[in-house]
Amino acid sequence: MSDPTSDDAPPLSFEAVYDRLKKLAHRQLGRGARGTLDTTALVHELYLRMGDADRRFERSAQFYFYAARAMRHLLINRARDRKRLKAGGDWVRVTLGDAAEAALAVESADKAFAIEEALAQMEASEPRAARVFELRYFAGLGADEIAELVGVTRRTIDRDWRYARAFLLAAIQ
Amino acid sequence: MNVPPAPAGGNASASGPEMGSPSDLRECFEAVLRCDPDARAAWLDAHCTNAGRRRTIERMLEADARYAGQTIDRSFEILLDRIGDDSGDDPPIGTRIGPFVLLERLGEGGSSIVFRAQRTQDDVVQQVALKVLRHHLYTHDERRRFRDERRALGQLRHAGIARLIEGGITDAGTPYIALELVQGETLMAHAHRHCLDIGGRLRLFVDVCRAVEAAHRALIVHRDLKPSNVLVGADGEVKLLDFGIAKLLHRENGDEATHTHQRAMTPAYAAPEQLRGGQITTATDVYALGILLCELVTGQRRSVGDTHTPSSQIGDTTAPGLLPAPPARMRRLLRGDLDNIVLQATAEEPERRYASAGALADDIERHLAHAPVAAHPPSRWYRARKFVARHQGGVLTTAAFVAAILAALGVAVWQAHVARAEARRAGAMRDFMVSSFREAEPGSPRAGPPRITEVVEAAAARARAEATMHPGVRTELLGELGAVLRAQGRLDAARDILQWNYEQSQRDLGANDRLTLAAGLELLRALALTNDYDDRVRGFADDLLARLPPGETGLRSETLVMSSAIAARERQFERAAREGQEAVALARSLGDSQLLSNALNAYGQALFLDGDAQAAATASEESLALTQARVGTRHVSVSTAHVNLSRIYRRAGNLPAAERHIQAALDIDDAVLPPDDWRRALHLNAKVMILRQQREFALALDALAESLRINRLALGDEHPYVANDLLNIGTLRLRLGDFQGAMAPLRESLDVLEAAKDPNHIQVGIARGAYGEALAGVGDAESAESEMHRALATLEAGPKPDPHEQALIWECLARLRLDRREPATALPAIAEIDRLLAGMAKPKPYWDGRTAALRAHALILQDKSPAAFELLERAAATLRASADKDVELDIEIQLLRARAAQLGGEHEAAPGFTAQALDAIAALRHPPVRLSAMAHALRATQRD
Repeated sequence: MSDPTSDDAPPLSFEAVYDRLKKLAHRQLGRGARGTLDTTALVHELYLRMGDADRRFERSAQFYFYAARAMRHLLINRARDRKRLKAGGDWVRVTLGDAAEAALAVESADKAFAIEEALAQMEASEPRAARVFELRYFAGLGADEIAELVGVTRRTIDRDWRYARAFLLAAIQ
Repeated sequence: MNVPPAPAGGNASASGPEMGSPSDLRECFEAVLRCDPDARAAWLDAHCTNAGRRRTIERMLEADARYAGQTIDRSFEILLDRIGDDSGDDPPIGTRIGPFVLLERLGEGGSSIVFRAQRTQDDVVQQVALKVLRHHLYTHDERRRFRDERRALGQLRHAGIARLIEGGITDAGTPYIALELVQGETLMAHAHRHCLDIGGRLRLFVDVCRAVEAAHRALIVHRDLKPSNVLVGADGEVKLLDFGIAKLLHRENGDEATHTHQRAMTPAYAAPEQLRGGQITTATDVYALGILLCELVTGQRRSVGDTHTPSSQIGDTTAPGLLPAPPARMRRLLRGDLDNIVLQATAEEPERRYASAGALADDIERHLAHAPVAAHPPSRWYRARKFVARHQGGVLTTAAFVAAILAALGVAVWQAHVARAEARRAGAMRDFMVSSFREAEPGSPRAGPPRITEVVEAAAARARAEATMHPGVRTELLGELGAVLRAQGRLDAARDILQWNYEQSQRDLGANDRLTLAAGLELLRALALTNDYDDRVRGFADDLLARLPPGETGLRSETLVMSSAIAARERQFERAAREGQEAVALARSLGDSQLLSNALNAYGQALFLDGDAQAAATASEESLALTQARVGTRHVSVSTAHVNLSRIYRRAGNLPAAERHIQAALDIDDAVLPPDDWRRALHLNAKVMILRQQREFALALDALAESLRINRLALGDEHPYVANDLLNIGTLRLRLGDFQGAMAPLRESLDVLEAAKDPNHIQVGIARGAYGEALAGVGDAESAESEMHRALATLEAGPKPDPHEQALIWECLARLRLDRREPATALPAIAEIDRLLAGMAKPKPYWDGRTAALRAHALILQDKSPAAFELLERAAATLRASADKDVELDIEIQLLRARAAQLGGEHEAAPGFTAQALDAIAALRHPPVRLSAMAHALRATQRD
């Protein structure tokens, strides 16, 4: 098989992904996303841009892990900025996940912090479940895909998911 | 991801672990879930003593319930629990969903679970595949939409599609869909198990496409085509599952404001527009089919972001069991056609893909039948070239022009919803050209408005210098710019650019890259425009042809057209016709009108030169019709087509048709071309030929004068076309008897030709021969003889000696000697003609008569009138029987008969012949001078 990454493409790094994502998000907001930032669409856009003909991801898993984490960072950084600056534009509502599973709307910076804290807690005791949550809500992946990326059965993912969702929602009430 | 160690803090229970009680939060949660809802409180009382923990669990249960549905079927909830159970093997038989009873779980998808279910109705047991959806439909709107969609899908009946039998929503709001239960294995499994070869796999694939096509006709898009959705039954019949279900399962939110992204598909098979949440069309399904095809023939799953062609997917390390054939053979089989088909089906832009699943199936079938396929990379510069051609010699004026050319380039970078790699590249090209044009706008400091060719040349120079340009982009750009210059007549500039481009492309992209070969073709076109074909050009064309891969039908057709034209110029008519024919066949298979009319022109030209005027006319008529259909009747291409046809008809002897066409051509020229356009001269030349045949020598000279004027202006005094005009002028004057007037043009023609062409070029020989005739006409017999001998030497020494032209010169010599009353020297000349004729494959039919006349003349001079008479009788009979009415020959024969009769003492017969001859002469326009003189001389002697 030929080398999947071309010679002049730098190896995929979290920084690279995060950087691109930030720019993309800015652009989407600049275009007037009518008040919402759709994380799933963003990650897909990012995937298409970063995974163009010149480079090929050796494993999509790597990309999605990074992208989900990057999106999570993006969210919390925006919340922090908002808190710090206190003013400077409306908080843009962020929707996580998609409508098949009713989306999680993050309407305020405070909610973003709450989510982050809950996720951090979950990571301490159930890291895989946290990962599933991240991939589902920040990268918008489906259960089958997550199962493939993470390397467990679909049923395991379902269980993780159910737990993560309940935990998180309970935590942010 | 490993199972985490014991929790370090958080909600850990203060009281230590009790025997038999779950210690961590998750286990607790899941244990509670397994209880009946009524029993949960009790369980918590028993096992969860920590108040904080209990509160958490209760909140979690609440959240969980909220997402599982507000009012939920208890049995369904149990169903979910059982499903969530890793160890669960027991099917939840017995649950009722609508009128169906669940028998066995078949599988699950992202948003639904599939069961085998059955219903009994009027003693009839029907088994179905029942899809139970996970989420619930709450609002009236949602339910209505579900029902409407379901009804539409229910109408879809096709053997290849699993039928939607029924659907509904339970009281609890659980939607379900009952589908035809299909027994079979998935497409890939089937192909693998039956060890299907590529042909077998492709035929299966065609079946799949036809089924998809049927649904598309009913305006239903699948949206989630993938191998697991295609089953193959025991009878080998294909069945598609889940048609349109994807849409049904996921609520469509038309409201832009809360545009939520639907993930109703698998990313690996999702078309770019699907991933972006753009418009879903039938082209979306075509994309998925393309991916499916790739997997089917390579036996490998395609991963997201994969853009390589099927053939490149096969590496030597690929597991052999997956492939239908060994890797090397597979690569060979896939390269070309199948690669191109897959690439077209999976093109980024929906418009570039096959228009329908049926079109895709057609192409596969063509491939299976070893016919050329339609898939080929598109030429978006086609329109640009057309645009520029319409504005030939044009001057840039306004920004509107710039906008128009951008539109003509077909680069739709302002389609907001797509941001594709291709558009980025095209955008780069567009930006480049915009800045080139902007520099040329009148506002910038310039002497006057720039010419289009100047802008193009400047752009080309910039493109050459720009180091950061993507090589593929640059090759294409320079190729097209060079073509524009060539079409505008800037041949030197075009050649330079195209030569550089070709060499550079070889370095950057490789010698056998498609773009390199296309660049080579453009270069070939420019080189071939020079009048001198040397072996280099022939060799280059051969080389390109050899390097073209078999799948490149369009490129091959175009290259064959050039090769045919080169062969025709080199007088290799058989090859020219053969290649022209092949080019036509290839162009026809692609259905490309422009390609086809070019190929027909080349083919027609080759046939024409080979002497088959009728076939040439047929080909050229078709080409004309295609051209007119494409560009309308007022266009220079149509004019050129008319001219070709007029030449052909003239050669076929159909003068009225020839006249009709040339007139049409000249009318168009007047309407569309500037007065000094070099094409007018070319077209006038065809008119000259017709006039000459009609003996309208004076009118022909007028036309030639105009043609010469234009040619001198457009091409310069040293150009072979100018020499050609001069040669024609000279020979016409010879025909008119104006020998003195013929000298200067013939002399000049000879000079130009000797300088411009190979000294032994056939035209040089012809010109010299004519010059010799002029010399003889003005009385310089000695110089005449010497020039004619030189002409013969030239013709003999040429690379392709033409015996016909040589014979003409010998005929001339023979006649001169006969007129000087030297039969002794005339006879060897006639013998030379015989020798040459014997060596000719297809001598012109009039030669028999002409040599007979010459010989008879010689016999007369030798006083052998009976023999002469006999010869002339036979010649006259042959002439009468033949289709061609060579009037001059007829007259000559009459006159010679008169002379023979006189000589033989038959003084009564002689005047008859003479009178006949004189009548015929009088009836001719511009009577032939020599024969006229002969006739009058005869009559004078008869009076004595």
